[in-house]
Parts: sequence; structure tokens; C-alpha cells
Amino acid sequence: MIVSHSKKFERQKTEGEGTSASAECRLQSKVMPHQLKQKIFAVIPAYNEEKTISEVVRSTKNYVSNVIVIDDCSTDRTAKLAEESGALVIQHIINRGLGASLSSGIKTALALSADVIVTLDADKQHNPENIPILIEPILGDICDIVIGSRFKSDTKDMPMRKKIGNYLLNKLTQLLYSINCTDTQSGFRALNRKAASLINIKLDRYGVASEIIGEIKKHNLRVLERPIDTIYLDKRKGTTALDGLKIFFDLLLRRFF
Amino acid sequence: MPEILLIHIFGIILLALVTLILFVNIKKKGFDIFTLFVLLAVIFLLAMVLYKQPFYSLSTKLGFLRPFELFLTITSVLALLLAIKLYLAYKTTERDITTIVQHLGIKELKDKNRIKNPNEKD
Repeated sequence: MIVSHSKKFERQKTEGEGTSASAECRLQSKVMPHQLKQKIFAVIPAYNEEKTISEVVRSTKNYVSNVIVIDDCSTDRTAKLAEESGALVIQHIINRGLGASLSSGIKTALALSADVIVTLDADKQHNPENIPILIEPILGDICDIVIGSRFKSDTKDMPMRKKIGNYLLNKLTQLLYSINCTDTQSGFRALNRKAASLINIKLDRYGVASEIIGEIKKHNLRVLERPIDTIYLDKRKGTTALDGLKIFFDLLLRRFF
Repeated sequence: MPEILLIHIFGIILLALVTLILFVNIKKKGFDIFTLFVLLAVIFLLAMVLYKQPFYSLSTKLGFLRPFELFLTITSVLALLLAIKLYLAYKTTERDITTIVQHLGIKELKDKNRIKNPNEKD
């Protein structure tokens, strides 16, 4: 049982083993979160993802207690399919972007007494099988937020355009917030209740990933990175160079105004 | 009688217009720091048009060839600040729209699934 596993870790911590690598390794064992007493919620922002949403919801449900899908005014059957797959669906009547969708999902999960919130993409980019790897450090109270890093695992499948874009945005985010993180733009992350309550998302669009990094720094939250698998089905999707510029401009304004 | 050039007439008309807009703005919204800043800039520009000679030596001391270049630099900075102010106001409106959309979406979900916030009192 993971609950006893967490307690064991707590005991180890008080006995002085602390956050040693061996203790973390022990926590890497397979966890089935549905066996937990804690409420684990998955938050999945979606916009026109009818091809993948059902499969993503179904596979995510194996690892969490509830799935919340935020349909950001899709023009296809995303909301209907997500609901049929067993997710709670929040529907935005106007398209408000990734940041707004994440914020809606996190607010709802907190209102439903979530203990741990996992955010992931609806386009099958993230593998739900990695959820246990992300939530284990939080259940063991090693950290408040775990970021799934694409750059800590094999990146040979990542399109070059994305590699460059991510590298630049990583460097800019690190420059703005002086935080050492290999993948600041990752959308696959797990947060405990405290972190989810403290993080105030103000940016509606793609800048949200960097904004979360800024909030981590601001509230001095404990952060860890874990390697994740990434699948790139649509290699053209994602942020463009122009989006990158807009994100940087928004972050500058957010930082100084 | 000093020689009046076309640029002086344009300058005076423009400054009078800006002053009028500022006056209406102050009457409507009150006096804030940004308005004060714009007002000072307007007075400065007006003085520059009326007292050409002292501004000529001032602009030379600041590294500009002519007062007109100093004028252009100041107005460019002012335009940039106004653009940022406008962008921030636009962002605030966007944020308000998002808040409404989120509120409606969450309310609809709660009503549909009869979910009650555990922190809410009856």
C-alpha cells in the first residue's frame, strides 16, 4: 500500500535518512494511486482534441481518482467524448487559452478537496503511466511540485523546432526567475494542495508554464524534476517563434508591472 | 517679432489638443501619476516651441543636433509608455473576460453534477 509506503518514508526522514538518493529510489517503486486515500485529480486542458481525448481520459483514470477536462470552446466533439469517457468537463464558452483552462481545472479540483493535482496534455503527448513517478515525491512530502522533464530522458524524437524554442524559453525563464530547471515549458506536472492554492495563474495563454516557474520561486515552493516519456504525434503543433516572443513580453510585463 | 514657422503652428495646435484631452481626462477620472507625467511632458514641449534658443543649447548639451530630435525622442518614449499602458488595460479586460468564462464553466459543472464546494457553508 502506498499510504504505508509514504509513512515509511516519513519515518525514514525523521530517522535522519532525509531526502537521500536511496530514499528517493525506494519511492520509485510502482504506485497505484487509486489505492490511495488521498484524492488525486488529473487536470487536462483540451481544445479540439476529439481524436485523442477519450483514450487520454481512460488511461489517466487508471492512475487518479478523478479526471477534469477543460474544453476550451472546442468546435468538435471533445467535451462530449471526454464526458462519455468518465471525466468531469468544464466548458469555456469562449476560447481563453491554456493558462485559463489550467486555472479553471485547478480551481475546480481544489473545490473538490483534491490533495494532489496532476496536469497533462490532451494530445497524448504525455504518457499517463508516468503519473506515479510524478506523484510519489509529493505523497512522500519530499516536495510541493514535481515537473516532468522531457530533457531528462531521450529527446531524439523531439522536433528540432521544438528543441530550439524550448531551449530559448528555458533560458529566458531561468534568466527572469533565476531558477534551475531543465524543462520550464513542460505541461506534465504534479502539485500538492498547498502549491495549487498558492500558485496564482494570471496569464491566459502559453506563458503559463513560465508563470508557474515564477510562482514557484515567489512562494519558495520545493520543486523536483522527474524524467518523462514524450510522444510527438503532431510535430507541427506547439508554440511558434512569434508565440515565444509574446510569451517573453508577457512575462516581462508580469514581472515588472 | 520672432519668425513663426509652420512647425510652430502645428506644434501649438497639437499641444493645445493634448492639453484639452488631458483636461477632459482629469475631469472624468481624476488626477493620477501618469496624467501628471503627460502634463509635464506637454508643458516641456510647449516651452520648447516657444523658447527656441535655450532649448537649442539644451539639446546640444544632451547630445542632440537640433531641438526637434529631442522632441522626437521624448514623444517616442511617451508613445511607448502609452502603448504599454494601453496593453496593460487590454490585458486587464482579457483577465476579466476569463474570470467570467471560468465562473460560468465551473458553475455549470457544479450544477450539472450537483457538486457542492466542501468549504461553502449552507
